[in-house]
Amino acid sequence: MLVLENVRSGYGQVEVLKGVSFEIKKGEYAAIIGANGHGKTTILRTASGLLRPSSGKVKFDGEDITGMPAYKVAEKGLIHIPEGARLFPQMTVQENLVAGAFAKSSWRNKAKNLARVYQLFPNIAERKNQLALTLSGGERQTVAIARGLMAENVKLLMIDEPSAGLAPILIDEVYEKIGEIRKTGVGVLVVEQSPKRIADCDCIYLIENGEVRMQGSAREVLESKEVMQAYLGS
Amino acid sequence: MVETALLLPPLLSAIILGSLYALMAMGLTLIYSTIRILNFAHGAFFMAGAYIVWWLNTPESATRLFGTVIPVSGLQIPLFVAVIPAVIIIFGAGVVTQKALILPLIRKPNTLITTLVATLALATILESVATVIFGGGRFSYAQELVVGNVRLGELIVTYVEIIQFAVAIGVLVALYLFLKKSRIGIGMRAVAQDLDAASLCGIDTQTVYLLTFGIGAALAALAGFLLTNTIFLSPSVGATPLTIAFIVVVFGGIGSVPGTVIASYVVALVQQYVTLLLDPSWGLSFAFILMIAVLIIRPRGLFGFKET
Amino acid sequence: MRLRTIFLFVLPVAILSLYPRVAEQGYLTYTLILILAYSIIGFYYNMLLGNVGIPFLGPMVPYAVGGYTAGYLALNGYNPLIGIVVGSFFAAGSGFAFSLLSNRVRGLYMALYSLVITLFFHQLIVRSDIPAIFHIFVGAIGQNNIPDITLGGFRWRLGDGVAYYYLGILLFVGSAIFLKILLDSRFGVAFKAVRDAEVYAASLGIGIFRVKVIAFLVSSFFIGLSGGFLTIFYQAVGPDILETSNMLLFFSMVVFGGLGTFFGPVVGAFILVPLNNYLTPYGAWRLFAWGLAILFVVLVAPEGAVGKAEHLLRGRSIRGLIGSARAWTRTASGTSTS
Repeated sequence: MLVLENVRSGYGQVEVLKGVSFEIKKGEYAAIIGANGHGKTTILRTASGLLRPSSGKVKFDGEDITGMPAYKVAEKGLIHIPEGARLFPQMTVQENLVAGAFAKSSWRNKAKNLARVYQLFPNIAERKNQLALTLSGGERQTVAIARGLMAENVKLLMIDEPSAGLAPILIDEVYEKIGEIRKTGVGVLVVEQSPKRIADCDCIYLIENGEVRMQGSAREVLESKEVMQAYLGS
Repeated sequence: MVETALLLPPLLSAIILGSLYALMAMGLTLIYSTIRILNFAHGAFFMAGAYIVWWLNTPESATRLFGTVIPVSGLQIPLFVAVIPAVIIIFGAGVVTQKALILPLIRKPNTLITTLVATLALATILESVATVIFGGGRFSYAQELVVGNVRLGELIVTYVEIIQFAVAIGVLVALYLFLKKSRIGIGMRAVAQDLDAASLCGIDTQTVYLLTFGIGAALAALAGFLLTNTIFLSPSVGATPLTIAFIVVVFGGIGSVPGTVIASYVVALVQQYVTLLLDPSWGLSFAFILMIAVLIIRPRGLFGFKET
Repeated sequence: MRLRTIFLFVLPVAILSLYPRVAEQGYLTYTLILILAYSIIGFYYNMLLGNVGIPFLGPMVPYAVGGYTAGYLALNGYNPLIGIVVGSFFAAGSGFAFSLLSNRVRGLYMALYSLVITLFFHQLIVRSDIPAIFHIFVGAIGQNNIPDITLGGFRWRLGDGVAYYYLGILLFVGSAIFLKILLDSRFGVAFKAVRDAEVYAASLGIGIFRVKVIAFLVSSFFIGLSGGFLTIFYQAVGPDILETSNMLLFFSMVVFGGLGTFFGPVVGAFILVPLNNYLTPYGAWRLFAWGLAILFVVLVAPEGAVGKAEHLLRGRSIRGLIGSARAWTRTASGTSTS
């Protein structure tokens, strides 16, 4: 579904990704781990079109999307939930969700998608007329994911640090929801720090210095002692 | 003591003028809050819109002013019809400006200064073109928009003033609804609040930029047409409205739509009452003084956001 | 002294100094005087805009303060030269007032406020009923018939104003040297620090506000100096110098030459001042050509003429270095790699 071929990418003069390649298959549950600053977020930003790779290819669902602007990539079904939720602060929860259905195909069905999303996340339905900047961290993260799901045909959901700044019990809830989302056939790629949460991933990629240092099943990667100590604390 | 009867006319004028100021300043605010640049050519769009209407409306017989021939279309389109193509043309001018001028500069360093210089240069070009085509003289429309006035108790309001007010308010309300409910409007607000997140929601930010600049310019052109029914039209007619628009956005907080509206009425009120109590020449100066007070107490304006 | 400085600075100044002995072109002298004066303004406005990075839209204010003060003193019997000096100090004072502004607002708000305050100032001085402190500004007519400098027993305007010409060169050289010294000193470093990384600079203990105050004081002093000089030279000054068309001229010089470069404003003045004079009789067309030229420069070469030149030269020399380095390694290793 999502293929990166030898992607080099960065910010201006600074090259962060130095030739990253991987493949996420349809419906897979994958995770990217690694220390901060080594390129995890840059991978997501390059895949979703916020960044243009300096070389290499990005393909989604068989189509070459290298250099495609972010809004077109989103229309194709590759949804990126950025780090820190990034809600529209002066809009209400409902307005944020509606914004997520901006693409023409999604806008037609926005009432239906709204209902679907409220059913999946009942706790934010209560707050639908509240301004986004008044929400708590956990609520914001939920709304951000919900907003991503407002698109009509989400094929792969990429979530950057879903657990950032959240209390454990809230993290549990988020991952529970991720599980429910996966049941509908949507692929999920998370960027994560915590090893506990990604234990049931199909595939994990370890990023170091802008390259894929190691990849494998959850068991292989997480049981590698060096990985545990070096990158996740303990 | 000042009689109450004397206090009402300035209030009335302030309500009408305030609405026009809001219309003018709104374009500036929209452009800044979405694209993050200051459009110095806003006053030029104001002026250009009015000239287009004038050109479409004025009959041939009026062209022998000042002994020189001033070009007119001779079509004699009624004012309230002529305003439509004028606004549309200036909307187009705004779109072109965004694409040709602003976009290339956003990608390069020093955006604030370069876009300032570029829009200032554009304003100079437009003003000089107007001077070359129409000369530096002061014009008015060949006929009044609507003749007559109405009495409200002891006040007299002309129909023109009512139309100025009604159109300004009508357009502002329509704009509000557009931004709040329509798909493009929501897209514009999203881009203004978080550019990256908007892209990730599938919003084509480049198109939003084009539309925003176009709408901002169109608002200025409409304000230009409305205001030149009561003041003279000349190539430099946009200078003072632009200055007032700057004061309004500084006072209300640039980037805030409600702030712009409120500030417009406050500035208009200050102007009108100072005119009543002192004399007209102090009106604008007091608006400036008000702005300096804002600077000292709350630099980002009433509703402004802190610079990130 | 570096070769580049000799070529770009000393040589032209030497040529300029000798010029009136050789030629008798009054108009050319006039133009050169203007170029020198505007270069000074360009130097210091560029310093504020490009080196310190403050988007200040009110350089016309210190210019006006310097000009009007010099004119006022000259009209009241003082030696115009004294007037110019005093005017510069008052101009620096106005700069200080603006520096207070810079402590309160930054970026866009700085641009907006400085612009609106300048417009306010313009509004204020064209009034006929302004308070006493502004009496030197005397309303819409401005000052006229300002007396000539008579130092050395003769009226300086004689002989096409050659005396003004030499004074202009003196002021130009003086202000250029002062600027160079300032930018090479720790102040220059502090300016760049404030421009590029204000928070970081503050954390290093650099007094940000102090640096801005100094920047404003110095730039306003010299802008006012030039304003005073030009006022005495023109023998008149009016409120039109506070208009946005003048701001466009100052801006154009800096942008044309290259924001942040050293000699950029001089290049800008050399091109734009004669252009301005040449186009004056064409009325509105002048502004049209002006706007078009500025637009073109900003879009095609926003780094300005000098910036573009530096860009091209640097590219050349790097390629040259690489080429010669390769040649050296080839010969040094004894083998030829082709």
